[in-house]
Amino acid sequence: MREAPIDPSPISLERFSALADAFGADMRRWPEADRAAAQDLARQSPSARARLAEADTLDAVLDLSHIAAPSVELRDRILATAPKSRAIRGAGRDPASAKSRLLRWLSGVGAVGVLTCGALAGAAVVAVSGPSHVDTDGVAGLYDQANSLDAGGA
Amino acid sequence: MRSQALADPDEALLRRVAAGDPAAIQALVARKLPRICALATRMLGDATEAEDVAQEAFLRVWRQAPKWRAGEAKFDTWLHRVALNLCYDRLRRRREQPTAEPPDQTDPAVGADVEVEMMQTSNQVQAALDELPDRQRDAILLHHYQELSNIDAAAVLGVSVDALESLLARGRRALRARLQGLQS
Repeated sequence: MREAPIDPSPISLERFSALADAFGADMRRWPEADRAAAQDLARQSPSARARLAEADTLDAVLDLSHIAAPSVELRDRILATAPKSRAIRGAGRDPASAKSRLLRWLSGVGAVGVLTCGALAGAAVVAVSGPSHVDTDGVAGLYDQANSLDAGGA
Repeated sequence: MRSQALADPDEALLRRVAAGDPAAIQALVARKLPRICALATRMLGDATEAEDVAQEAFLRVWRQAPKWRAGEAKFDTWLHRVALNLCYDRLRRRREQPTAEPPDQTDPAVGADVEVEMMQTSNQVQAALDELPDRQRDAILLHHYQELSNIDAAAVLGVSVDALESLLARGRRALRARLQGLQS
């Protein structure tokens, strides 16, 4: 049985080339499992170094694409949306729902006020004119309005 | 991904952001905004749209920070995934509602010829990237420009490292052919 030739390196030139083609010339960006062997081969093999040089050329061309740094205005706009320290837990709530909560609270206060006023006025009418039919439609209408306000603000 | 039990370099900062520490919020924006803007600009080819993506991505950061579960994913990987998805949404809308005008390109700097030339070269590279199939372009953006590790880039794209290697190799091969003039 013939002995297989001993590869001086655990990584073949073919595999080395494939890695350079995919990950570029910076071997720190290569898969960790291949890195040490690839570095060994690069030290030993001019062909491997030639592959690295090819990859490096393409890396340099890709680096010719420049993107402007983000503007200070954008940074400030983003910072303005950041939660404040006490409000961090409410960061997920949007301003619309905060408005809705306020409207709900206000409409509740309004309805209670109207009910109270209505009750007092009704009591006065009863006191003046004696027992009669009490029209509650107006109160019910205000409840509806409060509800529609709430729904509209939600 | 639970397999990434690696130390997250952003974890401590994110905890401070979640506590509403203004210095941490500024530091996080300084650290991540240029990266997210660069990714979105390269994906969309439109600086204004890229700014919108960056703003939306940070809104999601603010919402996510208090809920962040350390050890499940790297924050940077998650943020790239968010930005990439926001870009995909916009690209999809563009395909559904094509406009007559292509997105604005960044104006070349007025003045020095060398700056104009640099801008033209940059646009040439960008055009070559735009011509790649989406997955190949995304792999190159994440690995080469965003400098994500191959594990993180694969995680963002939802593919194995072997599949990432294949996407990168095919993409770079195509770019080499298209950008031959710039390589001499």
